[in-house]
Amino acid sequence: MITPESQTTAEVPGRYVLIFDSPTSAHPSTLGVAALEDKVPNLLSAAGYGTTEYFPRLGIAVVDSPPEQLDDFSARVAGEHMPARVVPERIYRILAEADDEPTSYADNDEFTWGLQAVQAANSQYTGAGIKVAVLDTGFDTQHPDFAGRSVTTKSFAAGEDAADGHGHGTHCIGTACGPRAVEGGRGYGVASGAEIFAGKVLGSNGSGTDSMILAGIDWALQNECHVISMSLGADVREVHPPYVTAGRRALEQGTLIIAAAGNNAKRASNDPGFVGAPANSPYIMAVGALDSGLQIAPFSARTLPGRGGQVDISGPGVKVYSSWPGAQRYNTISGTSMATPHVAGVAALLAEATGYRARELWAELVQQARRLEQFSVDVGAGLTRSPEPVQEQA
Amino acid sequence: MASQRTFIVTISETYTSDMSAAVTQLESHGLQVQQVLGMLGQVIGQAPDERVKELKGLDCVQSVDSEQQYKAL
Repeated sequence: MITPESQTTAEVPGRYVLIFDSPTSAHPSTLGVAALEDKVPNLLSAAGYGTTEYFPRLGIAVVDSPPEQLDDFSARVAGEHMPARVVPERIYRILAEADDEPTSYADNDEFTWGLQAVQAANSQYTGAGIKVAVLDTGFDTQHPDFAGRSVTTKSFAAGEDAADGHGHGTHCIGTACGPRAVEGGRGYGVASGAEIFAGKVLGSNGSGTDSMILAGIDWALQNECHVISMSLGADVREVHPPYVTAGRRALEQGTLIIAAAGNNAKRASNDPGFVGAPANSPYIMAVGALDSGLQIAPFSARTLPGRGGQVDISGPGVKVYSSWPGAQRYNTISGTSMATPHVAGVAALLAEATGYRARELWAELVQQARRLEQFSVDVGAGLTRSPEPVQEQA
Repeated sequence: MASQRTFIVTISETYTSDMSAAVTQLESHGLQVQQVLGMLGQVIGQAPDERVKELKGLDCVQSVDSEQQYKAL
């Protein structure tokens, strides 16, 4: 692996990299092969640059240039309506030292440990414009921390309204979409600007059936939700076919379903458990739980052999502080249920930052995750992590 | 009367564009339809166990699965 030596010393004086592409992946470049092979070399020559270090397959050139010549070049590409970026050339070296990211976290006066660990606490992204459905035990719409938020509710539990008579749903929604700043308390929500869809697919007794859950997924798709978070499961090894189809058809419609891997491990007794349904379906992302020392939680289920049975990614899931219904307002609980909305919230931030949806969003979550020195069968790609801040364009 | 159980019927890809036709077929083969999930292409209903093999044999049917229970984790 190579890395910039440092942000301040690694630039090569007078050398610049010209990138003929859109600045963000949210707006992919429209530059075609012909433009990269013919138009760009002509532009470089017209601006007084050589083309010996222009790589047409990449659409990238490296040039020697005084700053004023860059201004002339920038004016020329702007005149051609050609997307291009200029960054200084940097020196790279073999990475000799490990990074200095924290290996443990704790709640503080401002933020939960989970928000800090997934780097959402100070993210510029909030999930604005992204619809997140949390299918659970309902939601306390009267909770003061959600005043003024866009919340749509629906109950799929016969004889029950969408109010949360359990607490689990309000807690999960708090982690995925709650506030990052709370007066007199700590922020606990990852995607604090996302639009909330609270589908009650588990009754107030905390249990539900396929009929309720699939109806909830269908409702979320009708509402064009981008992310569906499901902190629920059954301790069965067999993949349940309806969720294979549901996960795939959701992806085809631009929606990513994220589900809890399961709490059936008893690691202190050398029983690592297994990923249950529906998280063991191949088109549903399965989430494991980490403690604040970034170790696998003792209850967090291990990868089940077979396609789709793997733990795909992990999130904070031990001693997680979030919203709770009624006068209690807050509660601190543990489970892969608590890890799942952390990932769903991060998915909303990544969806906002990149424009990616469905399979591309899945890939981005995996690529963005922080690798951990633990078994991938337990933690998958590692700790879910929010998008990097946008770098200043030269 | 035979006891009924709830089943999730997943409709084959080529038939999801006309769910009402699929529902009519399912009803005529013993499924008491309770919910039609148009976005997912799935139908939830009740049927006696002895009709399940018949339902599974229909062209429009991809799978017929018994309903399971789930809990908050």
